[in-house]
Amino acid sequence: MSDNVKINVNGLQIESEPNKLLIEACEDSGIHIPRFCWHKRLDPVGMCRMCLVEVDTPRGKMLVPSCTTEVSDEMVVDTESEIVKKAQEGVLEFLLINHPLDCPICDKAGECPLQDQTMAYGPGESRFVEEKRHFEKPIPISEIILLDRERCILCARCTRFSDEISGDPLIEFIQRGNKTEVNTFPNEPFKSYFSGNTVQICPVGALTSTSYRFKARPWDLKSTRSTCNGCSMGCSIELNSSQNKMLRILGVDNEHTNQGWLCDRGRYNFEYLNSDQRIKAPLKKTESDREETTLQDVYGDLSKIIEDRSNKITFLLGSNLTNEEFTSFNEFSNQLGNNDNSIYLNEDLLFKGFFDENIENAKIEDLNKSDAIIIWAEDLKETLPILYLRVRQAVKNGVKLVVFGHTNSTLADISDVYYSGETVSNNFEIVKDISKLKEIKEHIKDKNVTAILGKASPSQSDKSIEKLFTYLKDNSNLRLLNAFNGGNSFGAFQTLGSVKGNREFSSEISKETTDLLFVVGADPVGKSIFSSNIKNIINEIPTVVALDLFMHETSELADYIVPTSSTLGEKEGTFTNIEFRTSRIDKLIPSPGQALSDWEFISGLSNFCKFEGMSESLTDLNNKSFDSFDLDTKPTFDNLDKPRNLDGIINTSIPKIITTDESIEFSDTFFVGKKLYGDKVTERHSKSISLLGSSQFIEGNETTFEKFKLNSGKCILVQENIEITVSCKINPSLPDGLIFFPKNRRNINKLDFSKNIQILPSHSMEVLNVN
Amino acid sequence: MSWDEKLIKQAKKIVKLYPQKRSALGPLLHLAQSKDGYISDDSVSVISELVGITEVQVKSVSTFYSMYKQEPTGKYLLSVCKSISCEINNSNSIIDIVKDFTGLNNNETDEEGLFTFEAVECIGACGGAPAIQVNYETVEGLSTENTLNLCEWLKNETPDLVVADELQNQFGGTKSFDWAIADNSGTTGSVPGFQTLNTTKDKK
Repeated sequence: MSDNVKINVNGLQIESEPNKLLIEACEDSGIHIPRFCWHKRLDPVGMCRMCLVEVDTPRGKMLVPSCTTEVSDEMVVDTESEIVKKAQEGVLEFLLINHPLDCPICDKAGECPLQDQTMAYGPGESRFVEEKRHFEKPIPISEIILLDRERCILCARCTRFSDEISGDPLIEFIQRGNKTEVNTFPNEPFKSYFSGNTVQICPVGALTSTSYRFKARPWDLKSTRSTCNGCSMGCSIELNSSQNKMLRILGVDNEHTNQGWLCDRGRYNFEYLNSDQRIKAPLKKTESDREETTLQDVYGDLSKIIEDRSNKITFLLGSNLTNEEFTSFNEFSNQLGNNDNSIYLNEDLLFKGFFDENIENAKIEDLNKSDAIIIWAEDLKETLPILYLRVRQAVKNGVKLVVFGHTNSTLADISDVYYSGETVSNNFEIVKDISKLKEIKEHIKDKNVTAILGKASPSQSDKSIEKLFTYLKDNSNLRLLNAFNGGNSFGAFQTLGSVKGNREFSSEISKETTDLLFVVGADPVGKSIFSSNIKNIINEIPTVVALDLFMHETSELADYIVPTSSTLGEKEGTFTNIEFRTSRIDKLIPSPGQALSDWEFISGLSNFCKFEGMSESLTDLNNKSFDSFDLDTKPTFDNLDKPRNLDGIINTSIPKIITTDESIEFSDTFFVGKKLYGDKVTERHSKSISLLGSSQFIEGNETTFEKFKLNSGKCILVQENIEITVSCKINPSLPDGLIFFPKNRRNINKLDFSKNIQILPSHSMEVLNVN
Repeated sequence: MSWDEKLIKQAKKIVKLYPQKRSALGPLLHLAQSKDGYISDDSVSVISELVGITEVQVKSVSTFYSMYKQEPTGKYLLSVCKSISCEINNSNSIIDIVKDFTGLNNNETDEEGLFTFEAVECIGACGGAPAIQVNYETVEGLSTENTLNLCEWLKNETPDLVVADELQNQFGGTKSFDWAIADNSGTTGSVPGFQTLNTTKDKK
């Protein structure tokens, strides 16, 4: 490590790492330099000139932009001199020449860097009397983002973000000089999974999102810090509400996980909380219909079944619950005298994972520190979007990337090695001898390697990942991230002790083994690839209780439906992410109607059944969840609420996952996977993103489509009485003869993938316009 | 792709010249301009595919440089210099004459597609100010009379090709350099080239 340098800022001695940017060094020492274009997570450009400071140079004092100047030893800097003040006034005066003063109707007003800095550093009076530049007021640049070019101050934060960070530069500067504007290419909208971040980092109100526009003033917002439970990245978020309605989610800069970024689904999938379709009171199935009932009645009816000890009770839990709730179900299941194996997790792609004392579990930041990254998992961009950004960041820093096909084709462009059809077969087996693959050996042999391994497709056998894992473990210094992507699945693995998935549920459960089934926050009938099987099972089980937010294909089949709170902003708890970092989930708004947290329901039910020894409060459950962990600082509420632990606490407890070894019979011609946007019930009820996951398509390469004679760009999928017209998207990274089905898209999720699907060319000459 | 095979072949040849594909962007935009006389959105899509960047990035570069035309120009592109040397030498009246004659404002093209007028920054002919370019062929030492003559000649004769030397002899005055373009396709040429005095003698 090289020595720190000492610099003098405004007469104060400060220390900084060498090669740090002056603006950052000052920021770290508590000296704020105003800025618009500079952002900690983006490369500096020095475009706005707001961060000019006076630096002593051999040629005398000079104004330099502190965002592009690196600190050097004995540097003397003045950030508040008369000249600096004059420069700042000048820059602001220039910026305000064309910036409309429509703050009273601007969504940014109140949290606007331009407004704030004009107050703090501006000239105070305007000399500008001419006409300002005019553009058409907000133009939509995508379904969820609007752009007001008049307000834009051309800081290039949004364009740099989309180029450097998310890698989909669909917005750019057009024209130059006085005519410069940010825009998209005609008919090529800013369709990025990460576009919401540009709204958050925009220093003026130029970029706004449809979901928050004109909804509230920032000073009226209530806010709290929480954790996103959309996938297992556990991004830190800030929830904003006004008048008990959730209005906005912002990314919080957590160095270890999301570094301030969020995917658009995480950011905008909250409007369902305010939906009037939420279930508000418990419902009970009658002969013809459903009727409202009371919680007491539900408890009464259920306790009768529970008290008969000969009845067997099974749980199917969604992975979006908090750790405390998983613990609560575990306690309850133990009270029933069940063995460990009565709890199933609503996940299709569970495999044993690579967890034991000898395997070093990677941290997300290890990606940056390793020599190479090996990926073989479900499509990271679609299922763990922020992990995808972290991989991109690592590659940008020079880390080598080796990707095994066929799911992560979006990473093919930036990878050093991409193993496609010749190496990886269509049912996801490595067909060559791994030890003879030159390319991978060169990157991993005796080096620090971080691997992201998971099941790429349900058709992949556990053995094929194990083969790669064993090879990596024997040949490199391996650290590993197990790629399970469903919400709090890592929390479930740890708190439930042992976990099984949908595959096991559909093969083990029947009316012989279960008399009462709890389906909690899960829609396997609508979403699982085992849906038809699970539907039959649920239909034949005598009593089914659904705890959920909405009516959907699974809750509709239930005999009792209990409304529950959403993990997003309606309950407290903890969340454990992919690197076993546990962080806080916080409550901001009340639940609608009689909705209650799942643990409250279980607690009430066990009181009714007079169970003893159950945890009585959330704090008890929280303590119990982490009781057995061998840690100095356990992730309890007390500890997590301490300022130094806001980013979460890493733990090392090793989970256990039980899977059946039998592999699923899958055709070699297709594989299924999730897209970021889908047809989930919460997405359907979030207005601004509800249409983003509406297109139905299949993917394949040109040869494959020719083989099926699908040259028209449209085809019909036929299975028994289902007939779906979908478009054919060409994905050149897929091997010959393999077709991808996005299983979370409407109608496509109705297909039973264990049976034969016919793909026919579309007869209709009329080509529908589907975006 | 809206480019024919021959053009694509030529484009691919250009791309190969550079270690990084996107470095070929400038020459490819010239190629696009030589095809249509301007950079069409179709061409932008083709180029974005050829160099592996997004369409808006191509658009961003092509709109940044004013000599990449965003709209079709007329048969004759009249670029009158408005920079300091020419302005001292009365370029304002030259501009007025061209404007009056064509009835066009800056960056406009007439309905017949004959003339496009633009007042431009320095075209490097300060020694022979005031100067004008017709399809990037420079005429120096203009007088107001000759400017009008030039415009009328273009309108009446409508020559398919304009050549700097000929224009200079006919309408020009004091000359500073020997201007010429190696390839005579004018505004649609792939590179507006300039050669120094006395090097263009063999030109037709």
